[in-house]
Amino acid sequence: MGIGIKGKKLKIGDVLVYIFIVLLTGLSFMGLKIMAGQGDEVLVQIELNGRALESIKMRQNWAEDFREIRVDTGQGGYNTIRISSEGVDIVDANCPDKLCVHSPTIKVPGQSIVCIPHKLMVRIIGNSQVDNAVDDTAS
Amino acid sequence: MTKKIKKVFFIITMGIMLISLMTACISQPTRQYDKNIFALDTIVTLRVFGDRSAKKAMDRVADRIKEIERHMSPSLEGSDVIKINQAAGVEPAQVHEDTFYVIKKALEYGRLTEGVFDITIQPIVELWGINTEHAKIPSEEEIEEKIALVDYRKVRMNEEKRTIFLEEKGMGIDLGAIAKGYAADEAVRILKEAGVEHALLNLGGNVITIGRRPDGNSWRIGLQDPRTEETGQDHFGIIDVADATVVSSGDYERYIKDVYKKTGERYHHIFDPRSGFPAQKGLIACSIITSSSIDADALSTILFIMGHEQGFELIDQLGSAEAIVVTSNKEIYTTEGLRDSIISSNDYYRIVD
Repeated sequence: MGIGIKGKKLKIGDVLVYIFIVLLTGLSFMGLKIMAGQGDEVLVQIELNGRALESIKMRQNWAEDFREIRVDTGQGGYNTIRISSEGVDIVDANCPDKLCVHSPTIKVPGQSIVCIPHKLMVRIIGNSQVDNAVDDTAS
Repeated sequence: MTKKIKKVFFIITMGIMLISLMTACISQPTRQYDKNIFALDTIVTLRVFGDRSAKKAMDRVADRIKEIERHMSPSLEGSDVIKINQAAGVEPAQVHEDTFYVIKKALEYGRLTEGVFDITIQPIVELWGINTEHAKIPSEEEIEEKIALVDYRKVRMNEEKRTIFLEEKGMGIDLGAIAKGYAADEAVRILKEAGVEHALLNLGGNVITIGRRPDGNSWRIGLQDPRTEETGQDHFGIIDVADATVVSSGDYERYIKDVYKKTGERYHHIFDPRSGFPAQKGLIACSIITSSSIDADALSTILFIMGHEQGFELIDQLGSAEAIVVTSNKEIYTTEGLRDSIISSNDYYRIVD
């Protein structure tokens, strides 16, 4: 027995081809959605002079990702970054102004801490939006 | 019959696949491109929307900003600023067109404000050393000695030879209050010439927007809360803008931390050229919203030094910019044109009509 159109029978191979096409279309749409959405994934990204050094995928509970990272920024410079349940902080650095160490803790996507003398940037990347979200801040 | 149906089916399927492939390749979709660079002693973030030509324009902007930095940096060996300062009292120094233009503009603001805006503040900036390891409160004598060297009228320009001459030895210029504004205007020019319709730039806190957001809404810009450690808030207000620049000045970013910890007094980096001390006219933050970044940059410094009343008078008189200030009494004042567009986001401050 086969599936018929206007009484004529289709071969099993034809049916398989159509099923394959339908599946492929479905799968690629799903792939697109996954790529565009990325869900609630949050990344902590460390960049030196505009280049990404490390991207850390955070889990729901930040406490599980507790770590301290000492970044060598060249010419003897360093910044120590701490990731904890509080968020991300620069806890130590040997830059002249220490502005990065005094910067508030960050936890929300879009926030960042910058060490200008060491050309270091730590930022949180993600899609989750907060109320009253701004595109940028004039400071 | 079956064969015909199969053929039709096949052609339709292939047709759909071909069309979707073609549209994916031919129409270059509007994409977002981001770039962060460290330049002008700060961080510059560029966000540009468009096709590949927009990305190329963004890369040109990054190069251009670095070029401006090479000319106007107070610390990079061989910059025009260092050349001018080293030749002070000796001979005129030849400079790049960029530097000449910025100094010319700065001196115009010097005349307009009778010295409230003064790029020859450099000896005072160096004396206080705010944000360096040797930051300190200088003695009265030290300030007196250095303030004698601060006078924008002693900057001589020669348009033909494109030279700058500081009349006295020990004088120096600092373009920190205006170079970022010029760089921003150049960035906007390059992007607009490349046909970019939507962009968001941030040069060390100076926000510049081109057009609207790609979704058609205005850009929503937060104004940095100057007392965020007390209020727990990021912004004292929010403003929606399009094709505008928002520049802020305040006492909250660069000040002598050690002194602040002991006495609670903020010795910040915006000096009053008339006293040689950090400006003390009752403001803790102010912002300028206008279309030209070089003007916004100069005006925010001027407003902070002049204070609310005198500053607003000048801005009203110019008629091309809007302003908002936060006083040390936690009050917010805005110019007429901003009254209805500021969104309060913080109970710590009171908007005064």
